[in-house]
Amino acid sequence: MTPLVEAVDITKHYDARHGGMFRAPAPPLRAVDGVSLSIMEGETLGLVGESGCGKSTLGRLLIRLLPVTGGTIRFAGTDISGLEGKALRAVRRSMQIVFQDPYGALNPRMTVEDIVMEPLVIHGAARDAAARVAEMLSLVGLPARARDRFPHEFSGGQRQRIGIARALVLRPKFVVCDEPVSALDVSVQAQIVNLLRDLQGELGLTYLFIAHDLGVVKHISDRVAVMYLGKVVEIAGKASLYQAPRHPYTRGLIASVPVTHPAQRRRGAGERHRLEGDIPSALNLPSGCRFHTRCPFVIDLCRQQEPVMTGGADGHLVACHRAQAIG
Amino acid sequence: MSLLEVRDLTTVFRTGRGEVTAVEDISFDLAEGEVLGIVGESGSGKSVTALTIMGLLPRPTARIRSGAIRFGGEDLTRLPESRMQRIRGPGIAMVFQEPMTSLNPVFSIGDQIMETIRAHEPLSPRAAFSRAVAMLEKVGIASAATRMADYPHQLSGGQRQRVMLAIALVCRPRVLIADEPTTALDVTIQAQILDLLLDLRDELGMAIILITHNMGVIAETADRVLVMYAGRIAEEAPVAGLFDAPLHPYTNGLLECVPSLTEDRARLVAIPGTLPEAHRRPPGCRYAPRCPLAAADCGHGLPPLRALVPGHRAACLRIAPS
Repeated sequence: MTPLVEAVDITKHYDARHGGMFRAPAPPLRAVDGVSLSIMEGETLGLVGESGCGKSTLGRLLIRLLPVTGGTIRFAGTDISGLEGKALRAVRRSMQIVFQDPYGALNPRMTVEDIVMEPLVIHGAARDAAARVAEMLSLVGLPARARDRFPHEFSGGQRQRIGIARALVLRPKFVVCDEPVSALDVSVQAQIVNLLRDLQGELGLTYLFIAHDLGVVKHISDRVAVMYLGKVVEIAGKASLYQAPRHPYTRGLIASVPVTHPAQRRRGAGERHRLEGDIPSALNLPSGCRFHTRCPFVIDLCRQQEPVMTGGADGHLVACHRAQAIG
Repeated sequence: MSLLEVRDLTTVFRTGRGEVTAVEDISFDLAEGEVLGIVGESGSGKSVTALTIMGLLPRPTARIRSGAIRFGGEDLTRLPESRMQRIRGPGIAMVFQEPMTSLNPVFSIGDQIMETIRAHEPLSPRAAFSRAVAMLEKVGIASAATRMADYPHQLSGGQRQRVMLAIALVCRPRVLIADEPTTALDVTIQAQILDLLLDLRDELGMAIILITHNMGVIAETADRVLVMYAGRIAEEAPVAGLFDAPLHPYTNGLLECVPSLTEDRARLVAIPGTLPEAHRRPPGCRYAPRCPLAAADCGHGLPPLRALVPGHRAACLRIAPS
């Protein structure tokens, strides 16, 4: 099986600030710093990590919403990292995104029909557009009378349905879902997660599902990648990742998720593998393994040498010098 | 004898569509040293409840229509603003959801903590300084004495929330209201802040009202829980009772719809529909349009909050007392 989306050592650096005439230029902010991964056709890859780890940037790089600084992105076997103009627009039909904020992502002056129709117009597919919009609205569970209404007339969950309809109306192959449920009330989150799953089955979609909620990611994903400070530190099938996490960061993340029943509370020192401290700045990355400043298993090697992704035939990859020792 | 007693409290807001009820007819007690969780979704009235207790409702938009808030032998709803100012801080203190916007960006964090101390106690600047440093250490800020001169933008989100806690706790309040204190934070930092809250409760002995939309946060921290829906209390129970045997169908739905790390499900159990807006609430039980158990009589009149199991109250006509 060939991957639908493949990233090879991609980076995204931002110039932090100009150094001034007599100062050396400041080092760049390395938002995504050498990520390689592939997403198979029809699968959902979950992407988790703390805010500022680069997960949204990575999602946008994969669909060429942002240009890469280095590395290669292949979509259905074709290198798309350098595409421009018409050729870029042609591949973009197949790659869409659902945004986090259902309030900010929809133009308040456009009707629902215009919002969902806009991608068809842009890509010159306006024939039968009204019919395709109507079909799409019913597919995402919106009533037909929603067509002539404006975004503010809808609740957050309904707006997210509009955003999903807009993303899917061109029948893309690959959809980046960037925190699609984190702005929604919990009782509504489940509706949207179920909808995304149903649509995946019906339309044969491939998802990159970005979220900070580990429970939601576990539910929807086939495989999960964990990012820390611009790097993927662990990637595995979800059962393997959640039951036997190998990277100390992944373990810390899972241990930080609140329990689901008060009887499972574990209080007191040493009771949980909780992470100490904050995520360091991407402007000033720690030497060696970038997690070493918060890692409870750190040794000298970790401060000096950056670990590379290694793993067995089971597809469980981890970038940690100590993964074997702490197993 | 409880520390704080809220009785039949109703708070209304004036809007373009007339007055709407944000909090309706709620009553609860808070005991010394207790962690009371208030859980609900947006529009449930949980934050308005907190602002009403604190006397921080936006005026003249909002007003208390009826009810009493008894604390330290006084009814807070009848106190003049000058007296209320003396209670905020040493009596009841609050931390807000947004650690980014709740601190003043042009004053150092040390100034902001000392301002609070000196508003309530006649301490010398030196004594206020050392008290502020001690408090910063207590909330887990390393090298506190040098960090006193830092400005909010120099701190991470988690550190800012620690500073907010220091400001709230520096006058030793008897009640701390924490309104979604970890919602803007990453899970790793959330875990740190929740641990810290419970440690401080043990050390300082204050009672906590913890407002959240997250059932996991309730499971981690609360002794007793109020579940709010559309301005009213749907259920009240000790935390174990709530998770073991939830009575109200809404509570059940909230517990079911959260995906768990430990079990796999093909589909999440979703609650259909959305929360009713305040000016479009249905007649009768407000949850009835979304409720799997709703019957004809649910549409007539509000269900009373009844003790169905000792210490465990729910407002639902479909549940029989056991």
